Amino acid sequence: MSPAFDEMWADGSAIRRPYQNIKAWLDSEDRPSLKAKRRDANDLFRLTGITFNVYGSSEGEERLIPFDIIPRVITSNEWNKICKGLEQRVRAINAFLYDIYHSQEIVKAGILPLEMLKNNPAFLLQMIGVNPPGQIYTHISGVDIIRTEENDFYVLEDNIRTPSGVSYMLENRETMLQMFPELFTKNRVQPIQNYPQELLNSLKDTVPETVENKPTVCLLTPGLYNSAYFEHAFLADQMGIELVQGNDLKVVDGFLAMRTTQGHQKVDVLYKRLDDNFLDPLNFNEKSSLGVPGLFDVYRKGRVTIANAPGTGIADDKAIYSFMPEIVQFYSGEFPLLQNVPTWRCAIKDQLQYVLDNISELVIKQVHGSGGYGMLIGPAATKKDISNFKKKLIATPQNYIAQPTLSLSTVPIFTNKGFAPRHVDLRPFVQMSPKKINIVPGGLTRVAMSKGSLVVNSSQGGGTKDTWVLEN
Amino acid sequence: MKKLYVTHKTSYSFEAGPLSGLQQIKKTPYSDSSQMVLNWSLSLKGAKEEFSFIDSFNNNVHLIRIEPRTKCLVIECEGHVEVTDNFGIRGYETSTIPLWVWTEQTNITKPGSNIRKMVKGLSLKDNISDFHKLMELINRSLDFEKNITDVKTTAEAAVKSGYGVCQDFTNIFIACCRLHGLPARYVSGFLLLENNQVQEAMHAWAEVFVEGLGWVGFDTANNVSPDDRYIRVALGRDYADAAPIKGLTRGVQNECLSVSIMISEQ
Repeated sequence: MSPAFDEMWADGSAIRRPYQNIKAWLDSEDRPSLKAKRRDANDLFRLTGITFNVYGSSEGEERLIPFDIIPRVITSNEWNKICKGLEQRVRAINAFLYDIYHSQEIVKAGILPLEMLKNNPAFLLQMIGVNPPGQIYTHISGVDIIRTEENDFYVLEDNIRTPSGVSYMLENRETMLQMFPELFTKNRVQPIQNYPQELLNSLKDTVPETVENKPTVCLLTPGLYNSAYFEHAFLADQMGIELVQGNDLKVVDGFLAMRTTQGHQKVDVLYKRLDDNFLDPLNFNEKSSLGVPGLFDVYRKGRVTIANAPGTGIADDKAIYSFMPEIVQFYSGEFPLLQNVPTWRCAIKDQLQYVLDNISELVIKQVHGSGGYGMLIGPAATKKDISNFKKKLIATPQNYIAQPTLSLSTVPIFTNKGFAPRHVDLRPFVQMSPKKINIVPGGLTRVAMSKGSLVVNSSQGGGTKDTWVLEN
Repeated sequence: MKKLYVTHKTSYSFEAGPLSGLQQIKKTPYSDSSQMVLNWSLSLKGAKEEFSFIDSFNNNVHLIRIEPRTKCLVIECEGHVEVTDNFGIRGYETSTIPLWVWTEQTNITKPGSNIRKMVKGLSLKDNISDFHKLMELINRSLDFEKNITDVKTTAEAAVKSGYGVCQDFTNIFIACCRLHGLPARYVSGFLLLENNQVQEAMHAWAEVFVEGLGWVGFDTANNVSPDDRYIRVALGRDYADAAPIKGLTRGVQNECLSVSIMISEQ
């Protein structure tokens, strides 16, 4: 594996232009005061209550996501290119969702094998024939992008079912503005603080046609024990909408309504942060106590918008991911602007053999997994890990895909021993309404905090950075 | 061609009625190439309708809310339907559900060793006579007997027990077709019986998709193909999709259910 591209130093000979001001700033500050400010920044996070529940840890502990004070910088030229690619990709994904829940032209055209939909738990049969308000399925997308070279950006995965992390993006900026206000007078950084208001406007633009008055939007959370509960509460607060749980909602007089002190109030748009399976015990998992009985029937009737639409999970299914270049081309009629990482589908015999033969160089992921759980990073794995994983691959190959271990770019972080490069990725957030696509400049930069690590997931100890997109 | 008159009454009485309850009702037939709904009405006691809609399978569904703590809930339908005898052949239809959906087994239809053993040696292709043989085989293998199986009994368990009612016969037929990769589905509906006797449940039969003919019906419980005595009401992958009532109630005590269906030729 070649050495990683460093976004500050490139090949090491000279500092890259977009980072010159950052370098000058770091040179001008003394270490003890930077350390003190780093501590203050983390205190701010603790005060705001930004923590993260880690699944599978014995105490169900709340963890603070490590925050690094050195911003990650993207030029406006780089960003414009990424944006064009994102817009093309998200439009195609939305068209793909409409198609597979209607006439399935992409299957008929022989581009997507039927096996990708058959027996796929992410394909929601109940969505067949449903017309979501404004034909929007992907109100919010989080597309994970990695950089390997000066000009090489790849999409690592799409987060469509319930993209998360935007609260960290907002809080990272807020913290930087508070700690280092002078940085924002010396650098022209594109603002991101309007994200919650823009999201609210975008959701209001997707209301059912029958809504005439000012639409009511609320955010449905599974509750306090969900790993992203902080984000749910934070976003609802920032957007000025009600944060509700399943038992706050009810079907009343044929519409979705929430309980208020003044009785029931009709809900027009539900920003749901709950898995489809738990959404409605009458139509899906009958044991769910988190959902709202009859909600899906109201949705089918066209009387409420659900964002993102139920059934969108099929679009971020990791086996479907490998078809994304074909999907983009099929619906946009254009060549994909953003590259996909080459992907082997273990369900296919020859490809499984290749994966087994080259496992120590590959990253293996679960098709239905997320959050970095249950994956194997070949180059970092022990012999025992590898032999155990091979058994799983042989037993249930259809559950896995494999990708080359790409060298994620690095950006310096501030450690106790000084500045050191660490691998990063980027999750931009894309809002979609019938009127427009809106992409907040930058997104969430996640950073692997330990040396050489390629795992940036917060659930696996990854941290975050403020992400700057410079004005032209 | 027959003109049939249907009345269908479902009554619940509760010692303590539900604190809250929603039900999806699939009791309303739709007009198609083999039947014409002349009139149909649904009336409720102890509940009110939220709205009605058409589901993914094109079924008519009424969503109703049960009045909290009601002692008595009655769902009553009646109407006239004109039915043509198509010798069980329903033909092609424009449906948003792709054919492959009907080839996938469900929890209820998933076959086990008993079903495999039963159909061993039987060829099932696109030949109508093969399906008649399958229907006869299943009809012979099980005795029609109430109260041994229930709506959650799997096709495999019913074959093992040797007893079943119409939904079991139907689930088994579907399981066998899908075992051979053929699209098959569950139909719930009404059947005109001789001497207009009162029935306690809706009837069920299966349809299999045959190249060149389209969907063809098989009433395995009675070993015949549906004719102009059969009114189609709802369809699905198995009983659970097409069930006449699917509900979610909270706080019910001592529920007592009675169903009475009368079908007569006009």
